[in-house]
Amino acid sequence: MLGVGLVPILVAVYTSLTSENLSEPVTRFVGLDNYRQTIFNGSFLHSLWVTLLIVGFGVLVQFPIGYVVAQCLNREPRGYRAIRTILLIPMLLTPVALAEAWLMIFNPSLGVARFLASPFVDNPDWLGSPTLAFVVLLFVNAWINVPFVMIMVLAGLASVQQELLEAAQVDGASGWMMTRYIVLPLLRPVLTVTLLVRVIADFQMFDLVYVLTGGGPGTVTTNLPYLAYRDTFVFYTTGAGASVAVAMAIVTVPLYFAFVRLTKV
Amino acid sequence: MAAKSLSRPTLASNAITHVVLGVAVVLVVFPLLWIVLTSFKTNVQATSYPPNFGGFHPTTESYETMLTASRFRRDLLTSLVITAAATALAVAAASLAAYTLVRLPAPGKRTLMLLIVLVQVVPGIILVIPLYKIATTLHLYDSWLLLILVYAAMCVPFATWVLVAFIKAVPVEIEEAALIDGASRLQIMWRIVLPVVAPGMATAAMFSGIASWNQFLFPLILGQESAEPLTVYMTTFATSRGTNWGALCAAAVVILTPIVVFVTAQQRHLVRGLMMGSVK
Repeated sequence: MLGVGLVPILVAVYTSLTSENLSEPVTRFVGLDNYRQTIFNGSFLHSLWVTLLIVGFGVLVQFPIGYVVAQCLNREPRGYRAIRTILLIPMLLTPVALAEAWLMIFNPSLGVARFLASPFVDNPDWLGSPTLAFVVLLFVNAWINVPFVMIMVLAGLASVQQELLEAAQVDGASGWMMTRYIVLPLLRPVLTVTLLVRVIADFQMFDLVYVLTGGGPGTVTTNLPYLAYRDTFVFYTTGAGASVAVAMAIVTVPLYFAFVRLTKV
Repeated sequence: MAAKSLSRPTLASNAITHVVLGVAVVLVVFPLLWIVLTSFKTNVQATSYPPNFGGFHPTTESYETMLTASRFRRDLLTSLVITAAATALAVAAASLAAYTLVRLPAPGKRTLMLLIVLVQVVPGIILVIPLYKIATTLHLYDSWLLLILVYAAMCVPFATWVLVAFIKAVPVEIEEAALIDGASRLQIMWRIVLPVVAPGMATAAMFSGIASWNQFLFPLILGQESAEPLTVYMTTFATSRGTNWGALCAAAVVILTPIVVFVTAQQRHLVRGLMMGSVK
C-alpha cells in the first residue's frame, strides 16, 4: 500500500525534471527548467495566493460557525440527536454531487439563489463575477465542512468538566470570561488537530473548483491543485504540471511535520 | 449538558440556541430537499423561473430515462464494485498493518507510521499525475483493478489509525496466554484480536466506504469508460445544448441517498470513529 503512495511521488519528481509534453514525441531531461518556469512565471505564485486565500478564509469562516453551532448543540435542546445527525450529514456526502446541485442553485438565470436575492440585488452573476465566484466557492466549501468543525468541538466540549464552569460561575465569571479562560484552553488540543485537518484538506481542494468554477472566471479561483491538473491534463504539459505538483508538495512539508508533532504518532 | 446544570439558562440564550440551530438545519436541509424536488420535475419545470416550489405534478421521467441509459447502469455497477472491493482491501491491509504496528517489535515501526501519515497529507493531485503514467505503462489505465488499488491505498492511513486505537485496547495478557498455549501469531490475530476489534473494523470500513464512493479526482483521470464511477458521471450533464437539471438531480439522489441512509443509521459509530481517527 505504501508503494501506491510512495512510488508515484518519486515518478512525479522525475517527471517534473523532464520536458514531457503529451503532444510532443520526445521527452528530454531538462533539470530544473520547469521549476524555473512555473515558479517564476507568476501562475504558480498566483495559484499559491489563491490557495492561501481559500485556506485562510476557510478557517475564518468554518471555525466560528462550527464553534457556535457546537455550543448550541451542547446545551442538548429537544431533538438533540436528530439535529446532530442532520447537521453532520453534509461532510460525508459526495462533494461532486453537492457541487453540481449548488451549481444549479447558483445558476444565474434559473437558480433559487437568484430568486432569494431578488429583493436585494437584481440578478447577480454568481459565478461570472470574480468576487462572487470566490464567495460562492468558500460558501459551498463551508457548507460541506463546518459539520466537521462542529462535531470535533462538540466532542471536545463533552470532556470539559462541569465543576470547573460551576466554580467559575460561583466566583462571578461572565460567560465570555469562562469561554476565554476555561473552555477555549481546554479545547485547544481538539481545535489544533481540527485546524490542521481542515488546513490540509482546503489546501488540496479540487472537486469544488473543478465543478463550480473550473478555476475561473479567468484564473481567479485557480488554486494549486487545479493549476497542476490544468497544466497536465488540459494543456498536456506533463512536465510543467508535475513541477507544480512537486512544488506544492514541498510547500506542504511543514504541514506534515506539524501534523506528526501534534498527533504524536 | 453544559448550561443545563449551571444556573437556569436565560430565556434569551435559549432563544438564541433555537434560532441558531433552526437556521443551521434549514441551511442543511433545503439544498438537499431541492435536489429531491427537482429530480421529480420535467426539464421544463426544472428550468422555469421563478423557481417552482411545489405547484407541479411530480414525474419520475428523469429516473426512468436514467435507469434505461446504459452509461448510468454501467457507472452505477462500477461505483458499487470498486467501492466494495476497495473497502474490503483497505480494511484487510489496515488490520494487518495496525496489528503489526501495535504488537510486533518491527524495526522502523515509527518511520512506517510517519510514512503512512505522509500519504495522508500529500495532495491527491501529486499522486495522480505519476499514477496516470504508471497505469498506462502497466496497461492498467481505465480498469477496475487500478481504481480499487488506488482507492484502497487512499483509505489505508485513516483506517490504520482507527484500528491502532482499537487494537491498543486489547489486553496483551490474553494474547500471551494464547501464545503459551501454542497458537501462532496469525491464529491469535484471527481468533482473538479480530473479534475484539470488530467494531473498529466496522468503523474503518464505514469511512473507507464513504471516501471511496465519493472519490472524484482519481477516477476522473485514471478511468475513461469501463472504469467510470457515478461521481464522474455526475459531471456529464452540462452539454452545449444546456444542462438537463432534472436528470442531474436524479443522479445526485442516487449517489447521495445511500450515504444519508447510512449516516442516519450509524451516526453513533461514525461520530466515535471520527474522534478515534483524528484525535486519538
